[in-house]
Amino acid sequence: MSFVSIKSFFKPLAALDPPQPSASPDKVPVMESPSLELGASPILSGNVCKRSKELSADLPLLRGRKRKVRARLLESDSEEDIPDNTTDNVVDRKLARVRPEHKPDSKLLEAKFDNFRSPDTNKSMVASPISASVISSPKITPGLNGTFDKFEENSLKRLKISGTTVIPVTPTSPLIERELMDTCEQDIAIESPVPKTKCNPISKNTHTPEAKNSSPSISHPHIVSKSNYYPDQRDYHPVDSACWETKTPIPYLALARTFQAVESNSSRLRIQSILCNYLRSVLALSSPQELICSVYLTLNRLGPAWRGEELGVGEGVLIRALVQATGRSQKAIKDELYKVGDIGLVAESSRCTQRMMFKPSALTVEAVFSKLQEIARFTGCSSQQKKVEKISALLVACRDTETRYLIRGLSGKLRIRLQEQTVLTSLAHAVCLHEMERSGKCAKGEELKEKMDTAVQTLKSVYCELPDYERVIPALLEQGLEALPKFCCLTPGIPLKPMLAQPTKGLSEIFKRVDQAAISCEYKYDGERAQIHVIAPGKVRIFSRNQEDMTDKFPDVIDRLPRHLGNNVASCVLDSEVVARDTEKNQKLPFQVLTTRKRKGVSLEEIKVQVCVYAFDLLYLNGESLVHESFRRRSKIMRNSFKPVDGEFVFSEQKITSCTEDIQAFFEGSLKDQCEGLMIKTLDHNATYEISKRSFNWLKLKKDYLDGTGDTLDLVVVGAYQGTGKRTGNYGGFLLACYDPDSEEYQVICKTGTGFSDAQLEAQYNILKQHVIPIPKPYYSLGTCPAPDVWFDSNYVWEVKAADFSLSPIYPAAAGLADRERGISLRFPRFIRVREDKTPEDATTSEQIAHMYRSQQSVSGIITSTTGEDYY
Amino acid sequence: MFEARLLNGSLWKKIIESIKDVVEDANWECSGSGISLQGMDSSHVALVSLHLKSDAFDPYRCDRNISLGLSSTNLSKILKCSSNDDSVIIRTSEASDNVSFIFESSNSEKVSQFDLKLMNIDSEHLGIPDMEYDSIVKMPSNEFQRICRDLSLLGESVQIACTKDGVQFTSSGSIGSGKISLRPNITAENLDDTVNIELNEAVLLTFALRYLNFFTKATSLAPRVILSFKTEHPLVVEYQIQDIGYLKFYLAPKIEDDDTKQTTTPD
Repeated sequence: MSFVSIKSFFKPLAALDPPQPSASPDKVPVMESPSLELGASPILSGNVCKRSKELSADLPLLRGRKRKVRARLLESDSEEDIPDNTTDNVVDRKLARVRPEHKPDSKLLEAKFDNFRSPDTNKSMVASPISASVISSPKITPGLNGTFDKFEENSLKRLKISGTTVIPVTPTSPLIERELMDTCEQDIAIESPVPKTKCNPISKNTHTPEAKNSSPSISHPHIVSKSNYYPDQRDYHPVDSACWETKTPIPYLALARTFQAVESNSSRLRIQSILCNYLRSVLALSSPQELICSVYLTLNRLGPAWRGEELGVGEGVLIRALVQATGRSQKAIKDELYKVGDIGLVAESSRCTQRMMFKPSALTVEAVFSKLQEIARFTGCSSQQKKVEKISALLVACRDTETRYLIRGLSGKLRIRLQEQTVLTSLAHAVCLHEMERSGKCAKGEELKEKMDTAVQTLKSVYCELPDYERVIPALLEQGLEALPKFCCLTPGIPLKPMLAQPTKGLSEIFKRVDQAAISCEYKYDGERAQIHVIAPGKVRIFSRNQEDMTDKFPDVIDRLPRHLGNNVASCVLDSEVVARDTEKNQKLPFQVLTTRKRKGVSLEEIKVQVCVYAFDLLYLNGESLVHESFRRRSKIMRNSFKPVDGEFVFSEQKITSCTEDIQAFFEGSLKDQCEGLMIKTLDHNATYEISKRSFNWLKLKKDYLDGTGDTLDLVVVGAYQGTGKRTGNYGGFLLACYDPDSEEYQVICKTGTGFSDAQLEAQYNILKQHVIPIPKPYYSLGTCPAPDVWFDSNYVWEVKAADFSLSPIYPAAAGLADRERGISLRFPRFIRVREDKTPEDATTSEQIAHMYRSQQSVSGIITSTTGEDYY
Repeated sequence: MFEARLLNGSLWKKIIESIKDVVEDANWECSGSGISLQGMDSSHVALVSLHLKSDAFDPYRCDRNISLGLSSTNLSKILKCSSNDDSVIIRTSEASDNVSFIFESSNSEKVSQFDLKLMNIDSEHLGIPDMEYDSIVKMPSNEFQRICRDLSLLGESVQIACTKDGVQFTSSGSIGSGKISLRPNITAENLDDTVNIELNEAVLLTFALRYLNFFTKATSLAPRVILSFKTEHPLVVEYQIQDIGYLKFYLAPKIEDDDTKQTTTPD
């Protein structure tokens, strides 16, 4: 690859973003300067016209300055013999240059350029301190700075200069010139900087667009259109409107532009059509692999959930990568992040303070995706540093808005309100339109709508059974939409989305919802959802509610499973709940106990927490998918095909009834049996396991949803955490404490961030920020809970509702009262209202909390023998 | 077939250690004229250009131009297996996807061979134009290393000002600032200790010390370092490897902005 000139080594990482010129002024060094009163800031912020206007607007000011200079010259006796035409000339020349409004700015600046180059001017300026004070100004721009210091040192012999003075005409620093060129460029939509022929005599560059392209690897003729991709345009044509061609890789910029369009639209239909447009182009021009990459990048995933690939990139890594890629200081980036709250925006607006030797070639969708996978694969020693290197390599190659979405993707949140359902809809629409286009058929109006709706329904139901784009997309492209269900169906080994349950407030609500249909009530166990896949005899995998592979976590379950399978079961998919149990007392233990189990590499010998599987649904048996069957049938087949063993593998407690009293009694029974409540499922009507039709087919009745059962507490706000995302600028979470009158301490009990409306959150921020204290009061008992970002003086009492009480090793509330060492914390605390009638001393006391905890325990039948009777 | 034997094997070690922080994966281009390497760091801020003449090797055989894609980290691991007075033979054939490193002790009693798998690295070869620099500073390489190391205690970047009076290195950070000035001295007893400044035009440029500290790992390769400055252009840090080649580092300057201003003002 030949290289045009060293000039093209230089390209600022983040050129000014054309759509938001006003957003970046404070990052543009030139604009910062208070001394550049003329034309400086407009040069960077606006287009050519704006700039010339501003220049001329500053004229009176200049004239004023000129008069002043003259006046000063006259006053000064000692300077009288100095030909005052020096300054006059300078100022006059400035005026002359500024005046012609019609002149394009670049020329204007070029005209200014010779100012300091002329040795005569320099010499005469040395002679006159006053004139020196006119032209030199402290710290104009960092780039200029260099030029200036140089002149100060060489020619001006370090004249003392005080204050800021007008320097309308600066020696045209190459920096300014480049900035100027950049803005001009944006007006005419050419990428990459224009080479500076003026200050680079050896440059061999010509001013043709091809030569301007600093990256030698791309020399496509349609380079200009590369940055012009509008997936939201009307009359979008998948081939003509795309900014790439068939068989060429998709530029990542196309996807970034799609994200940008999605982000700036709030209507779901609009978002669907934007994404659909992009996907149509991908379908028409690119390979299935690129479609998969695009879909994954859109969902910000690396692969199907069960593969468990994670980027493992924290904010720290991103900041370090940004530091490395832009040369900005870590502190500056952190400060800005604190203000802006979105690291994507910070990255996008980060102007590079470090030049590059050579601009890397443009990113492609496939390359970005494979780089992300590489990043995810780094493990072990110095993997963080390797990640930083990879990310910064990606960052320097970013153009335009690419930075924002790349960084957001890396940070784990794309935040463009793009749900998986929308992506599936868009994909189905795109495929549908693509198929019609290819077959030459066309449909309009109702017919088209119907076709598209069927397409969406087909794709969604297939995806629910087989949530793996790497299988669905190739099949979709090869077999077409209609045949898709034949090729992609429930496969043991690939977890499907679980059916979820909707919370209800009481029995009356349940009857209203199911409307006479026959229902089944089951205990709702307090454990972990587990989808058990028997792929073949002896080959078992267990997946979580989020399709993560948990096989390694439950070797005991897998070990015992063959004993529970019926003789005729070769393969199956079971839906179940895994619950921790106390084998000695033969009772269930709460969910928190289950979470203390090791997650990975559990060996059978070292298992301390025993578990029992409560099976409640069967989705697949011996090669046949049962998701389209009714619950009555699925439940029956399940209960016939497995052999329960007490304490190891049992079926969930079930009662088929529609009598209110029975249900009430069953509900109370479930609580006594250490369960959370009931699951209510219809037996025949709407009773399939088809998530795509209704993902909330089931209802749940939990004790804390029932009116009056949840406990409310009055707690003191002692700290808060900075909000991120939507809550940027406000507090995102709060640290609450109860009061212990014995020790006169506020004991931290929990964090909460739910139950607030946006308005409440903002109001609380405005109230609480006046009570921020630099360090926690000595009478705050903090335990080992994570320190909040700000501390508050104890002023406000909030009413908080909690689902449950639990022992906590980190929160100190009521420590010693319920348990010798551990304190008590709340599960699912949510804000109800501000208790203005209560003072912090009136807050719920530790003693009360201990009491609530004990009464909860006695309800659930667990007698805590360890409570310190000897304590009081 | 490619074969190159370098009697002074420790030179390889020194070279790899000097470049491995800057260039992770690079293609070693072997041709009739010698072995050269060009590569950039992941941020594209620094560029390494290395050339070793074929005369440096005995024997040197290169039937056809060949490009060896190697990871610097792995190369460094392999070369650490050699003793300092070993001679090093690099050998590969066109068809092979391995490159062999053969270390032969000076008394020929011990021969060790390590094969390293070649990688496919896509890199663009950049033509670096010759240009006239505004000022060229020649100074003892250990002095330059010292300056970079000392100043990196204070700040992240160094401002280098070359004037006819001398060259000044300045750095500042939250704890304070430091300034080191060198005056040209041509009268030093040892020729290697002199500081020469060829000045066409005064320059003032800012560079990230992080990279300079990577570059100065090459100090052991040469007693002298040549710094070439040109306003708005990359700095060239050049080490002459005896009379058999050179190792040049290019570093793009920093653009000072508000951030750096902030950090330069003490808190």
